[in-house]
Amino acid sequence: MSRAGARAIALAALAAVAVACGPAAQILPPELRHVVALPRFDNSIQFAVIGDTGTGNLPQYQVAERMVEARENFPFEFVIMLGDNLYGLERPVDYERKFAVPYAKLLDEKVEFYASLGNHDNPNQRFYENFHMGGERYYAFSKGPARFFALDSNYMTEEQVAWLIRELKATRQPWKIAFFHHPLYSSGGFHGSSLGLRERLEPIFVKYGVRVVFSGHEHFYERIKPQHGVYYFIAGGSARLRRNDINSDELTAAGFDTDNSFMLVEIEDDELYFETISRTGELVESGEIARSDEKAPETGTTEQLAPAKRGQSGTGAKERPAPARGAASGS
Amino acid sequence: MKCPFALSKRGAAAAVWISWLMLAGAPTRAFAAAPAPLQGAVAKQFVQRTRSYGELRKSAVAGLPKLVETPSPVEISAREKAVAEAIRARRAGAKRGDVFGDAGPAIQALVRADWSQRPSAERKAAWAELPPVSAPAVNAPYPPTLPLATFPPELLTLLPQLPKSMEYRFAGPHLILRDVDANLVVDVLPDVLPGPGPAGATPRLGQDAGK
Repeated sequence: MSRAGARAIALAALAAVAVACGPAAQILPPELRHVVALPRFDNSIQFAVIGDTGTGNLPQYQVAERMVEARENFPFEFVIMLGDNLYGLERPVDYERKFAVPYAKLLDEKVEFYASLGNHDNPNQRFYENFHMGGERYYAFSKGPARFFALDSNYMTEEQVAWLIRELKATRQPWKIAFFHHPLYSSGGFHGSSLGLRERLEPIFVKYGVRVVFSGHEHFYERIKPQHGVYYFIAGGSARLRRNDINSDELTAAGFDTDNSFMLVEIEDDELYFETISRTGELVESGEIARSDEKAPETGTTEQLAPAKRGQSGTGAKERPAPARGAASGS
Repeated sequence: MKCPFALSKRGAAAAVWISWLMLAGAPTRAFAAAPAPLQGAVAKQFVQRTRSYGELRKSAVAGLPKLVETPSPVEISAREKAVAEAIRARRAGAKRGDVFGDAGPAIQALVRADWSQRPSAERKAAWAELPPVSAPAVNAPYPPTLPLATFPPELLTLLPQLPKSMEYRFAGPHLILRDVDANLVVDVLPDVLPGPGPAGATPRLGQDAGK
């Protein structure tokens, strides 16, 4: 074979690989990036959700930049982390490169990070002050009308289960929100649903009124159709990405697996509003959830979504109706 | 004409019973009897050995400052190393089987019974998480770049409870006892999990490390 022929074959092979892997999309110019359109009520709590972040690589930094930008219009006070906070080695330099540096601007502005442990996390992270774990592998904290339960889904002991039940029983806040690494429901081809964990936790969530659950582990965004009255989100694509891994099935309400993303959430009184934003600055979807099915607004709940885009799967191709309580539409 | 495969009443009843028995024996949680928790003298002695380890550990780290929340990862890392070194020094002669002891075969049987009842999707997901390692050495650190695979919650309810400083973990097919704060391998029960299992549960260990 001639040298030119060999080069042509090599180029064709490279092109095929590039097409298969999909080049990283460009960050949108500032004027085209989504501007957060959550309601921003006076007494609401506002937070961000990120998962599977601790790579120290470019996408993590880019998502962090979008978070900083989002905060200009939506000054969230804290961030919940869904595990895999530090991949690989956990030397002091790794805490810097994979956490403190990418989120430096948010830390400087006193944004608090509340971490849960993933399967890549050494449990000694619980002593890291910036993760607000209080030296515990699982813990709870309150913000306004919500109580958050950070669980260690890697090691679900009877002791932890008993603690969770005790805490849920004692909770006076109307919103009960759990977050942990492994999703009870997932349409991911690589991992899928954590069945053993579901068997253990779901009856507790249902019985004690946990309304919303955030998990990571799968490196994409997925909103699951409500299961027994509980809304499950997967937001594990805030640094790593498992492209085209969602096998949309009867579980999937909406999904996004072609780029990294993070979530913004606002809770006011009986309603929770959310937006999911991509690394490039696009709105992935937005919606709202009522605290209980009985109190669901007439306009519906999370079925009010932006039309599905390329790389998304979703049930939400409906026009978003006039939002309840004056909430601005982000669609 | 009479069908050559027609069954007598007794034959039909037998067929129904055989079908039912086959279903009952299928490896699904819905039909198979759940394994019983490990109990008895062997379990008690194992628990006693884990408590002895807990006591040894307590005295080994007694001189070290207690770790509280800190903004300094340097402190976290230094504390982990100090705890590991103190324990290692006290257990310098420790060898495989010191803690599992004669409970090893019973624990292996229990783990395998639990594993065999898991749906293939669950087994596949578990293999996808298990890091591909040969059995680690006692007193060695748990390899810091390998994930700590999720431990099946139902299995935890069947195994004897450990002191808070210690946990069960799978490293590949091996069951280990891991000191949490020291990130140290306390004991190893090699090859507890059976091989890749039936079709659909094939491990993708080489590809999945670090995912």
